[in-house]
Amino acid sequence: MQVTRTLIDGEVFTRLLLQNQRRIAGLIFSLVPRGPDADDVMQETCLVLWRKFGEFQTGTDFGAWALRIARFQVMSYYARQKRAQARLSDETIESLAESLADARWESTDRAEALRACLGQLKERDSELVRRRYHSGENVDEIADHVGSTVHAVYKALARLHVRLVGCVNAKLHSARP
Amino acid sequence: MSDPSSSLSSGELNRLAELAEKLRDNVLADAEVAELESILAESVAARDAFAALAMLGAELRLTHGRFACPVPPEARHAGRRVSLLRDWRFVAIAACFIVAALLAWRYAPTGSTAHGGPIATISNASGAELLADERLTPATVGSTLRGGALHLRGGLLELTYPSGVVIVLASPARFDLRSATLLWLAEGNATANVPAQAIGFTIETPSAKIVDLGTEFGVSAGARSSDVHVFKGEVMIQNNGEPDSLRLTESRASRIDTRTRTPTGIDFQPELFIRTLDEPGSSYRDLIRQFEPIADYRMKITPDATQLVDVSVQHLHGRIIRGASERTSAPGKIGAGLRLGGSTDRSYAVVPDFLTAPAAALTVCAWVRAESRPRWASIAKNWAKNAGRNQGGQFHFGLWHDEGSLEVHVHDQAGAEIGVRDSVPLPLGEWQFVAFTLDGTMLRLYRNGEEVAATPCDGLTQIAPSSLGIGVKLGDGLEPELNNAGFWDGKLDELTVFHRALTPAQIRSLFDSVR
Repeated sequence: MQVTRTLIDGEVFTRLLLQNQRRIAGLIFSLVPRGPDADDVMQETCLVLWRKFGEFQTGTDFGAWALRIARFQVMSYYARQKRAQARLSDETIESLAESLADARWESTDRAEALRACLGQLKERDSELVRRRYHSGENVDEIADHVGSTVHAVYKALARLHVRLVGCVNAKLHSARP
Repeated sequence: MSDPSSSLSSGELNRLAELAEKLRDNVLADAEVAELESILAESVAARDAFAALAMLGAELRLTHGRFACPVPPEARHAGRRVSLLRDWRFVAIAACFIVAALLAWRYAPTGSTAHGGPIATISNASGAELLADERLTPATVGSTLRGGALHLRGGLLELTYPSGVVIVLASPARFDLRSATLLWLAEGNATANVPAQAIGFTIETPSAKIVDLGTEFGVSAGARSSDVHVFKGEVMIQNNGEPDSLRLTESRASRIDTRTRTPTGIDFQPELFIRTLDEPGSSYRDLIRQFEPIADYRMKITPDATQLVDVSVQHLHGRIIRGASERTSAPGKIGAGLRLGGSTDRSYAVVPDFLTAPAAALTVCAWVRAESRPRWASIAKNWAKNAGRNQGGQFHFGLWHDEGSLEVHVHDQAGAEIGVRDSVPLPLGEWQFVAFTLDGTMLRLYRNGEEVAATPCDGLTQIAPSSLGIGVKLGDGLEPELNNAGFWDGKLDELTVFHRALTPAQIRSLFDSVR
């Protein structure tokens, strides 16, 4: 079958995708192991969304539609893994996708709030963020660099993430008139 | 939004975050998978918290640029019809377009449209250090800029849109050329000069959208608030999420708080903005030209931001030594001025081959704005007295010791030091017109067109260094004097030297021409 579209469709699609990209990325990057696999699933999901965009009903919730497709891509990824892999059940993945489909996660002020929160971090925590997300170091490497244990680094990352979530939520909450 | 942390204990949240992190690393033990399943199955708050952590992870990835894909040229030709085949190449290109768009918008907190083509041209620049994705990128005049996160780390940048809109950005600034009609300004100062055919041009900040209604305006944006000053015409300020708009007219200013979205009237301060990188003409400058200066430093903005241009026929050019600050150009009394930051900043200017006065006839005048009064702060000094040795020098013009009143010292023809000073400290935070004249018999000091002190002075020494320090007292050579360099803290503008004594009426007329 050949489908003909104009780039105007592409612009509409891109706009919708941009509005929802964080939720899609949130679902995929929280469930698929970090590294090339997660990037591949993200890219595949974008391709499938574009391929199926003709089926999307204008006026309905693009985010919910995209998250359903992203969820199936995650499940499909799990199914393709030949070796045993720690994974959540389909029901749990579905419930997480439903949670993320909530419109509150669309808040576009989240990036600004996070940037402000990152700016308030102490140097030690900033270094952790830099190593983990900018340099892409794994926990073993971080533990080596900071002279700690893997266990302690996971604990530190967990505390840091919880603090950042609290900070972002507080900023978003306080930003409302 | 409910805060997940309010429904789960700190220990539960930390444990959930740890399990989530291990899941992403694929290192969860079977028991931990079961534990995570159980936590998520039993609690809506836990699923919310997991979703919040997932969103945090996505934002952190996006913030640190963990995607990469080139923009395909095919995607830039909007309006051209293309066929979507089962051709993997097209699909791959579309994917690249999409993912590249994700990259381009990772700093975009509000809804935007995608763009990939050139949007504006760099029409002027001064010492511009421009970063795209935090990598230094050339800011060459004539080159074009596309959409995407940009960071002006140093200097000044003037952009011209095809519609005729001219934007002047002053560092530090973070911005994004969203489209031909929309500029995202996350932080920093920008001015917009919008011609009639481009009415509707918008600058969007974290606090508000400023929509042009045929005007020239300035925006100072930050995370907490944005200030809007209207130089000419009218703008409409739309608060994000608020139906009410504010129409702001000429010579008015408003601050929009990001948290409350409430407009607050503030004083109109056009002097906060550099509106052009070109020096405008003025009646003051016409007068200066008539009086035939031997050096005329208008503090003109130059491409490399280090040249101090003398616009007089003598061309006694100098150089600007930038200390710790990211730029030394700032709004001046007329056009641009030289911004210096005192002893911690250590910025100044020097004229290595200055022309000293051949006879006892001299005038030096300037517009100055002090932010503080550093000890012996310097306006302009042709002086060579250090380490207790009196080596001459024709003038020492600045602020008196720690008192901070305007003062001038000269050496008379016998080498004696003659000085006068004002009776009050120089006012801070406002432009002052300062001048001194020497006619062979009297040394006179002026502030804002009025004589504030005078004393007899017999002639003028001819023993003087060949250099002039501006905003600094030079020591041996062209370096700041070691013991007390007297770095100026504030702005200097329109520094002019005459080898003649202007009359009180001429000094007054200069002051009056700018008021």
